[in-house]
Amino acid sequence: MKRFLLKFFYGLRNFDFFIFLLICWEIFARFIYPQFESRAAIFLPTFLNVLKEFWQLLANGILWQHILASCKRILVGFSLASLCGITLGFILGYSQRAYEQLQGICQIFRPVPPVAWIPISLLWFGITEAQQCFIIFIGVIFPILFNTLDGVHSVSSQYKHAAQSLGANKALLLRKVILPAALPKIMFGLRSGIGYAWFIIVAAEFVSAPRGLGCLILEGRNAIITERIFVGMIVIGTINLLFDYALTKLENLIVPWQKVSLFYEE
Amino acid sequence: MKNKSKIIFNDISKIFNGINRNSDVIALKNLSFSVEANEIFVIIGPSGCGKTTILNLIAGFIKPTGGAVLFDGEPITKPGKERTIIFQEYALFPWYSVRNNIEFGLISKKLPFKERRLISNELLQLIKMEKFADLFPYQLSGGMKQRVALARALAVEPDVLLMDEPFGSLDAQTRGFLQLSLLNIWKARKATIIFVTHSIDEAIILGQKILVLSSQPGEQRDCVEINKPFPRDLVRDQGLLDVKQRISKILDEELNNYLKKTLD
Repeated sequence: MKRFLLKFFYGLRNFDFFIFLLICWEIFARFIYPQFESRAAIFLPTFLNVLKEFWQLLANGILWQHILASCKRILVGFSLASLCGITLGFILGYSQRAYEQLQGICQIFRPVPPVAWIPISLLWFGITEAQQCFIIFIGVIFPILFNTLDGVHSVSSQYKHAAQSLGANKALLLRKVILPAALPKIMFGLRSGIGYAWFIIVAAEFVSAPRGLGCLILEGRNAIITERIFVGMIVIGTINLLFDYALTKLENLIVPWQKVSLFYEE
Repeated sequence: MKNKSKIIFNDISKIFNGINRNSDVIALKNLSFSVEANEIFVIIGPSGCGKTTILNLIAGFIKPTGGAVLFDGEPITKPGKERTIIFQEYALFPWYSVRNNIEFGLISKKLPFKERRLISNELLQLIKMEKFADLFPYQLSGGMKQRVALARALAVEPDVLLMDEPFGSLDAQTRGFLQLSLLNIWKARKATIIFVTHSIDEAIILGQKILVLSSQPGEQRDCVEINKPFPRDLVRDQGLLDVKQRISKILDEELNNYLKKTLD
């Protein structure tokens, strides 16, 4: 317990500046800004009011519903995209023929912003959960695919040569050499993918969704409750941080020979 | 007689294609030599003379532009575990522990778990690293890594062991120790070793036959046979000192030629 507390307070030291900024925000929004702007309360809520709104939304359970809705969509879209992205990345990385045939198509679709897929996906799926998941799938698959491809391509030829001269056949080479060697890049792809997923979910939810953190923000705008907008934004940032933390921990677990450090650790 | 040689290079040339014909690189030119079974064959030459190319040809990673490389009388077409290579940079798999690295070739042989353990235990003992079986490569020193690489190669019981400047990046002491261990292992296991180096001392300490190459393109300058027992005394043995002088004279000449060519 004592060790836990020590660690907790030591960890807090990294947030010194952050807490300072929050205090600055509170002072500015509560005392300074209203002096020269009569609608200050609408433009910039104070930190404590945002906290109060957060607490209220949490207490009456609405916030949980929004969070769950968004997380569910992201997890479904992200899982499907990881599965397809990693598989495709491997095929493209391993087979020269597949690379020549498919990489042109991938390069054409990659720069199309996921948001541009919203109109057509509405036609295809209607206003459904599937449509939201599809948009996330589209937005996330390319970073995962291209990072996997890069990972497979950049496996040192010495590892491959060493394995071959130890008698490894193609299957063993793929499973025991190329896959582990590409893992760090694949994990990087997954981490950037989850980041993109949050970019996209909000845009998708603005257009069509009954629930979700994007809706919470939109709700706040429509009702002119600026605090609610801030709550939505902060919650998105925090949850993304948690997802990234989980993925980094997972990476350290399955790629123990290459320790990845978190920026908020030590 | 000819068919009894382990490896035969028969008039081998290797050209690496550049962007255009002027930038083609002739790595090897009309090179012929043969390596007998169970001998330590050392290849020495100035850097860029195609030493590594020779090993890559024998390992089967690349194919010659002209001529044929024969292994037991058959042309080499692809890599295989009868010709195992050891690199200067070790190329240990960082995702495997020492033991799993050693067992890699045994897994590709589809040996059952118990046999694999038996062989890896034996090899760990041979390289004196029983205590480090569960460490990962990044936790080892350079000399330890190279010992593991050696054990990993020996695990598949190769006919020919190809060594590409294996001790090149190690300090002098570790190098001497590993040279002695290699000789001991060779005596106990009897394999053909083809050893590439740029150190004349190392060539004479290990080599029963020493092939001296010219600078690019690689051609045979000399082939020295040394019939002296191991371990060899490089300080007092006059015969060995003569060989050393003979080789260093050739290498000096080659260096001068090379400098002249590049300065003109």
